Amino acid sequence: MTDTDHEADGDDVTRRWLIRVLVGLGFGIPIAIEGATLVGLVESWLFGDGEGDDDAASTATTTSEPTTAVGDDLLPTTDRAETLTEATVYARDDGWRFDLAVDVENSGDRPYELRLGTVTTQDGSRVEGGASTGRLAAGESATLSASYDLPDGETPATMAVVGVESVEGGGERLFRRDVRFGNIPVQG
Amino acid sequence: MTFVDKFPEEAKLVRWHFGVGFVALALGGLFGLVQSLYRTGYFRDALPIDAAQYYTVLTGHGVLLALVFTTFLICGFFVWAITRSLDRPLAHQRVAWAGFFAMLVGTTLAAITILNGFAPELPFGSADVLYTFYAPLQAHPAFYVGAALLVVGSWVVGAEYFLTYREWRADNPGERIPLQTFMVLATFVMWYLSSFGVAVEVVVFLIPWSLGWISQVDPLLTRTLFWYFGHPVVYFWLLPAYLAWYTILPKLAGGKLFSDPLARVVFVLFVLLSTPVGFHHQYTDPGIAEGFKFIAMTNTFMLLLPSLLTAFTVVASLEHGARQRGATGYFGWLRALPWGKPSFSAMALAGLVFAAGGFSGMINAGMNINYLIHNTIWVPGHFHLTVGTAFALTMMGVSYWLVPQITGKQLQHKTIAAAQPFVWVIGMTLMSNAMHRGGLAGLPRRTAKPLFRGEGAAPFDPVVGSIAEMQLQIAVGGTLLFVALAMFLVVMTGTWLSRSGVGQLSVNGTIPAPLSGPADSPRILDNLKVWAGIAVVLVIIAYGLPLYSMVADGILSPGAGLLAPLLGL
Repeated sequence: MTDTDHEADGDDVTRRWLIRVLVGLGFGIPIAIEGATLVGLVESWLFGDGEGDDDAASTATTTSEPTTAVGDDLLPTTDRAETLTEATVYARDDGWRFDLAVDVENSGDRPYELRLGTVTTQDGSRVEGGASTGRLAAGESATLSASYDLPDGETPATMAVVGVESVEGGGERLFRRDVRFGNIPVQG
Repeated sequence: MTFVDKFPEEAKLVRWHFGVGFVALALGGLFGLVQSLYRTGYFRDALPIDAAQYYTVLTGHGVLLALVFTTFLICGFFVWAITRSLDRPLAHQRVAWAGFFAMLVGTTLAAITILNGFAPELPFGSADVLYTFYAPLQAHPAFYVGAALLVVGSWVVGAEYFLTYREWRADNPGERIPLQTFMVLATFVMWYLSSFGVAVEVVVFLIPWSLGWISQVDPLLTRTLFWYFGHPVVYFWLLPAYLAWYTILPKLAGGKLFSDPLARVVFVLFVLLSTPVGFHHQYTDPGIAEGFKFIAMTNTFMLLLPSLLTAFTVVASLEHGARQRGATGYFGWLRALPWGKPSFSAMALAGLVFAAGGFSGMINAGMNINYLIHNTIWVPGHFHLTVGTAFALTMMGVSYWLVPQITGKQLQHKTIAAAQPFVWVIGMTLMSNAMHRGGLAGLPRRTAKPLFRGEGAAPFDPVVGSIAEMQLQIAVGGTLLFVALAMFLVVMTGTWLSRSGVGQLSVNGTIPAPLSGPADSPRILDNLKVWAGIAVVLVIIAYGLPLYSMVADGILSPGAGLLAPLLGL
């Protein structure tokens, strides 16, 4: 018995070129992949998201379009409360549907109306539809519900929202916003 | 004399264990390929499963590979290690065979219930409960009975190791325990202590619950019992790999083990620290005091010590072997290692990959940073480095070396065997790297369609690369892994079916004596009763109060109080 095993008689196993290629690939590919990951992590840490976006633009995008989730106000710039109370995508056999509900409280001193408009999906599809509270007198509240039929497999990204405040003299003051949704749960 | 000639009955037992393990490996590996392609969206429409059946595939992949393949390979490998190192046959072969058949029946039951997910009309129902089979997901009772039999069967096989050791000890009073036997016994001390938790979970709670004898269980209590076992099982996988790295790998490199005492210290540390760590899988679980989670974190980080000792000892042994072969220079010895020998390259590459797995494991173990990656695809990325490579690839390397010795047949398809470990490592690097990056971006684990047809990547925020690129990398990596698995099975099948007695085997089971032998270490290291006792105390410290708190809160119904079930409340 020897201390080491000898497989040298198997020329096919120890062909030098094959082993060199295998060792080169077996070590080279992992080193390249992990090295690229490390460089990417350091770059991200030092310079932000990279990809050519400058920090200012990236920050502007983030801060100007915060995501909206259940419990958030759809139009923070108004002094009324338009609170998203429900937002769910239902994945059914007959198609995907986005249902949402908004509690509107006209806490101002003038009549107010909230209108929900077109929804744009994460894939960029535009889904027409909408709903309106109608004209709410000062101090009046309402719950607004809307439903959108989505393309299968798609989830909502944004929704056009308009707040309409009546002003003296019969005119209107509009508050427009494309509300950007956060993660909306999908139910079967 | 070859092992099969010297111990023919034991060789037969090892062959059966390996054979069942390889069948589980083949089926589980196929499920892994399907899983990686379905989840990433590549050829999804061409695959013969739907989203619901993805979870059948996922459960089959996890159970067949992480529980069945591992347990059979370990039990068989340890039969060889005990027999060879004590240089005597098993004391009671019937005990070992009884354990084997219990495991086989258990595996069959569990596998049938899982596969019934493809045909729900069959009587066994289904078991899409994943390999982490705790409540509230519920399987058919046969699944739990099968899982229990698998564990109990391993206990019975383990008992045979101790019985054989007892006979050897009677004949050899005062002798130091041979290193391989010491490693086997230490591993099973840890396994008995830790697998007790899952046995209680399954037998006391899940089986009665699935049979309808009790209407509900406490998810926190059953999860805790599962993870009491669920992390130590990692060391049940790793310690056999350590046995191979410590005792076989240096010989394959042409050298000797650097230090027998260090190896014993490492295994003692694993006996002590492997079990009181499970809470680090439950950092996000309510109902467990933060202090006990902190204890688990501390113990987990303490486990780095034996792993680093192993890295030092094994690498030093390899360097010694390479220098024995004439290598010189600080790094020149690396080139002198026998990379063309598949048994060596598989084990050595597995050890290198395990180092990476250890680093990502530190992220998992940290109480604060764990929240970043908890329940994301980072976690499968991590354990594919540990069980999926450190264990699996090591066992492939062991098989290249050991199967000829337990069959008396020359290894076949040697070129394929030489290439296989490298293909595996490349595939694993691609897949695991992308999984880790996906986890950092928040990609969930255990999900059939994480992106909703691949276009829903917007909610995720990759730090490096894009979601689409990660998905492609996972699919390519998973495919390469399946190719490597197929290469391994071709070599094993070819070897198994080849004619025996054709020429002299090019391998033998002789293990050279270590450079520093057992005489250089204190005898207390061999006293496994002491270490087992301390391990029990550590477990009581780590788990006593939290478990008491859960039980006192209502053993089946949290909030009901301790005696509620007995009083019919």
